Amino acid sequence: MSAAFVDALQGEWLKQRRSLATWMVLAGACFTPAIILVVRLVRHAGLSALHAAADFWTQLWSSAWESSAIFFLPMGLVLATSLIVQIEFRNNTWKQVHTLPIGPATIYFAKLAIVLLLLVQFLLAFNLALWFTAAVPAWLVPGVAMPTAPIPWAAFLRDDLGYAVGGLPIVGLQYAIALRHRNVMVPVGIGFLLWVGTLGMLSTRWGSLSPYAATMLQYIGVASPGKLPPPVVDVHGLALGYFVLFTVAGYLLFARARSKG
Amino acid sequence: MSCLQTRQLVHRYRDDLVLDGIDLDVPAGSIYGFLGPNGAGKTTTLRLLLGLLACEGGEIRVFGRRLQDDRRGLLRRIGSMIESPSFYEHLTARENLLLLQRIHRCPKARIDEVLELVGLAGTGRKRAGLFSLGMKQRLGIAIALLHGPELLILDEPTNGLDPNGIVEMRALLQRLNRERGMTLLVSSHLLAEVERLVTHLGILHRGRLLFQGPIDALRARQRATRLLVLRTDDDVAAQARLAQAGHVARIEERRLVLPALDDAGVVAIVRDLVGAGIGVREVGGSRGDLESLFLDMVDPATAREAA
Repeated sequence: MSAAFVDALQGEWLKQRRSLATWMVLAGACFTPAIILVVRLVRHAGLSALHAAADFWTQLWSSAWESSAIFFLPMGLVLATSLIVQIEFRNNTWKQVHTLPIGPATIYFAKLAIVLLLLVQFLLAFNLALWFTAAVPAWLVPGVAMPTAPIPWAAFLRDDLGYAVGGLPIVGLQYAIALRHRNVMVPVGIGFLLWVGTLGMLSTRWGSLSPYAATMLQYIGVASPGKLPPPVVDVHGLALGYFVLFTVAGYLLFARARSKG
Repeated sequence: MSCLQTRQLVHRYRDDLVLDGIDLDVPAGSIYGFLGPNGAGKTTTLRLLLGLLACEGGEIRVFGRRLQDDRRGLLRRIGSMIESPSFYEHLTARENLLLLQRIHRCPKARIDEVLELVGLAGTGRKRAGLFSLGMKQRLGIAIALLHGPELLILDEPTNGLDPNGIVEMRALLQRLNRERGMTLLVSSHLLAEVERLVTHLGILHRGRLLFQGPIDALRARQRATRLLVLRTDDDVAAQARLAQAGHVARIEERRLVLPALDDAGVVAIVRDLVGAGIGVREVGGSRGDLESLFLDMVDPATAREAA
């Protein structure tokens, strides 16, 4: 990693501080765990038995990922990617970025790295929020103890990695689209349509080929095996392939633009 | 010695020729005013100079090197502000400079130095988006100055500033040129605004460079083109009478126009015409300032009306 890239990355990290994208990612990651927590605090009658169950963590993991894998993660990535790029358009700073003594590859990949860091931030916040979903009732509700079942870290990390890889094609495609459109509604609108289209296609044999399908397929494949037709190809391998394809295509379009800023 | 040179710079927007063979020559250490009406092609030229637009024809040399050969190296020596100041509104002035300081790899002390220089040292935690127009403009200048460039390219830097702000900006730019030997290329559509600032001038109109040189050369040209205007009872007879006295006058829109004379010369021809029985109703001159010369170059019809 070159020193120029590290400098650019630090600059990009500073830019996204206090930006809407950061808050959206945190809100998206914590939303489902927060809802589960509120429901459990309100209906706390059977909570002590639930906390004593041997499969407490896998049950919690599964119910928290349901809406996150289907909606919050894909749409969060659509919004976060579009908003990170929008920082430059909204502030009219592309021309400043392009007159810095750094190459287009540094500019392109430093910003992409920030979006990927936000993806990691989403997963970290989600995992942490899930732990609080178990801890807060133990602190607040009398008679409810911290779950005694061990946290299956290895399985959770494997799932996290799977969801991260599944989100990569969404980031790659949204990034390439967002860089070409000043109006943030264009990448967000395209992302929403592709997400809706993917949902519609999921029950078909070809649904697994959508770049937006990987996180959904991963969840449904574990929570409801056999509910959907088997994927045509390996979902995560395809996701990585899509990511490389979209990233390279996006970079070529970005670097070869005749008018910059 | 030239700091920045272009040769036969050409740019098209779709089928329109926006720049038609521009030969800019910005001397090192000068304040070069790049003047032209709105839409003349000034911003397009500046964007080409910075590589924000792909060069379609011609050559750009900065500090003697071709821009396309070492754009990144040359950008380290150039500061710029194109169209409007660009900064991140959700960050403070200091944060805006901090993220650029890392990329330029200049000392952190430069941040305080440039904030002090442009008068934004006391803005603290106030976000840049809440700044007044003048403060935003000054932040744009601070960003352009952060890495201590040798060449500063500013596109309409006084746009939107109040008269006091314009005076302050002019003083700042002159100070940078005088004390730090910085070469400045400043675009504007108002001659009056750059007249008191620049040492050299380039006048662009409809994609063509109509004049380029020291401001003194333009002033000399202005002196040479000053006119005397007479309104008489009988322009034809007056023209003949003046010709006898060795003056070449032309009749233009019911007026006699001839090259400017000194006071004694004006008195002499008026006395002569009146003596010949020709009534002189008005004696005047063309406005004879740089503005009218500029207008004459870019829009002769309007210039005549103004005169």
